[in-house]
Amino acid sequence: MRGLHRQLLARRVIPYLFLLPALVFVCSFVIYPVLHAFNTSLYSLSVIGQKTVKFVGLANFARLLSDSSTYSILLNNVKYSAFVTVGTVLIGLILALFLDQEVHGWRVFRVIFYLPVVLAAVLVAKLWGAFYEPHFGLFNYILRLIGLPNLAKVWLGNDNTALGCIIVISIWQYSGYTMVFFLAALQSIPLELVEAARIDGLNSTLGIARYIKVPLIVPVITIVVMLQIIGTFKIYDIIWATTKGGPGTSSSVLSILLYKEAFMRNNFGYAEAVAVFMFLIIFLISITYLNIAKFGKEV
Amino acid sequence: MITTRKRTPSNRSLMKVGSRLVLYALLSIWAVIQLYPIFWMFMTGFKTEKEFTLDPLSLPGQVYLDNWVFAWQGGIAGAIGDKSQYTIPVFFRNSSIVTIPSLAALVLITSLAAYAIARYRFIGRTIAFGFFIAMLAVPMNSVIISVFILYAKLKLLNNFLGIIFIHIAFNIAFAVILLVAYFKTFPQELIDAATIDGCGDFRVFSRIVMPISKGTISAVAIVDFIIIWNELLFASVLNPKLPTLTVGALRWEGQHRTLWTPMIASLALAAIPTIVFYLVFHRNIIKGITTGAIKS
Repeated sequence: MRGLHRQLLARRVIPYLFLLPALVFVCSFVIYPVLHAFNTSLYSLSVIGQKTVKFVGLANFARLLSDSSTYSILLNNVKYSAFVTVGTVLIGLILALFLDQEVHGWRVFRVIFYLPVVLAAVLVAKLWGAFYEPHFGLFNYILRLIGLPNLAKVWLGNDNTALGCIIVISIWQYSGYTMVFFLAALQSIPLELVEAARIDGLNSTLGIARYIKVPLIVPVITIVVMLQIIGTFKIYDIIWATTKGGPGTSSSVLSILLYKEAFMRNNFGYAEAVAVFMFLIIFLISITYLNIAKFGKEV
Repeated sequence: MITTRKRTPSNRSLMKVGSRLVLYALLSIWAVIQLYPIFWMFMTGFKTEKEFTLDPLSLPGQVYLDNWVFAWQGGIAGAIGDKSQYTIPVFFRNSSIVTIPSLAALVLITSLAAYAIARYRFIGRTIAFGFFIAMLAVPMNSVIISVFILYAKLKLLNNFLGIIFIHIAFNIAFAVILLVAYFKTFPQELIDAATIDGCGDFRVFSRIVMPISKGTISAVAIVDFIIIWNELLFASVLNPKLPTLTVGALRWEGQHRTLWTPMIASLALAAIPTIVFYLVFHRNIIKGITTGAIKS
């Protein structure tokens, strides 16, 4: 009798045991740090182990929200997210629709288009940095070659063009990423639907694309747009490796601000406030999206 | 699995020949746009600095290997600290030490958790799953400072264990969600057969479920490999003295005081492992990310 009892107990406990390692890791290295960030943002902490750590309440946040550079940085985030999301989604969708046209060797194209996605952002940044270089870089060289030397700029060193150049890099790198999602979704559309449309008279490829295929993959498009918005909002690697947010803060984003405040100016309390700020924004975006998705499903 | 459709006559695209040519042309143009920078990177590595400054577009006139030797030996001017210490082989080694154990642990931990959520009924099951979904919204940036402070106290800075732990923790959410979707489709008969044969839960998991699930699990592992290998923020903040390839690459500058071609050769060298890995595993990578998203 006791053996059976023990067995039943083991049965009930097993799933919790299986879940345990994952929970331990996530709680220790994700949850706890986030809570710690919320806590530290309320203090003026400048050096680890500092003896006088002052509780300053919401002062860090007040400073964050009243600093004008915060808003230009936030605007950069919005610009980067908007342009990269729209760019990658549009190009990815077009590429996917193209490849869905019974293209011979579509798999080869897919391999090629996805390759830049797996390259480290740092490598891509340095490589494109060489292209954007004012004296020897490819772009200025070509501009001079075709007789437009006036258009040659110091691309990454110019307030107006720095962020735009980085946006171009990201669109180049991640169009393949969105494309594979769309392609997979398109390829799962049952042929009968396309057939039925043709029989009903919708004969043009463009028509089929617009009225049949794209509407059918709207859920996937929604997910990909959400992934891109969230992903581009967190962006750090590519910007740090090309311009470090410069010149000034013209290409800086929240993650860069966070890094600089924490690890260059050692304002940990303030940096944590930025961290909390980022967390809240991303959290809000995610919730909004989940609600839109839910609403979309009910409709 | 992405199913390819049958090529019935009615399936053939209605596009006119002319339109199809334009289609292929456009696709090829984009293919060149995607590939040319990478090709240029390798090509430039074979040029002399003079060749490069004269004409960045030309093909190299000879096979000039100095850049590659230079790059391999870490002789880039402006390299961090002691040149002989921070070479590409060292970076490669560090990247491997960080990535491979993280993956191994990740596979084990997430499979266990996902299996539990997918195939057991227990109180808190939905909460647990929702918990992991919520974790997807936590950005690394919001956590890095706290982790840095925590590691400073625990003496986990510049320690491979530290960075392995954080990589595991941050990739759990994504992997668990993918694997739950997969484990839900696992045939119950196999589990029952094993149970009848006297296997306890863990045995069923390790002897039956895991081996059969190798395909999907490796797809997840492969996707995570790329993520961890290419990661910059944690690696640069937590382990500056044990630089991975990405951290090492950060210091390669190509400005006026340094030479360009060796730097570009270094980039190319650093890119080789990733490219090779990709060419071997590209199917798994694409399958891994798309099946998860589509199912969710």
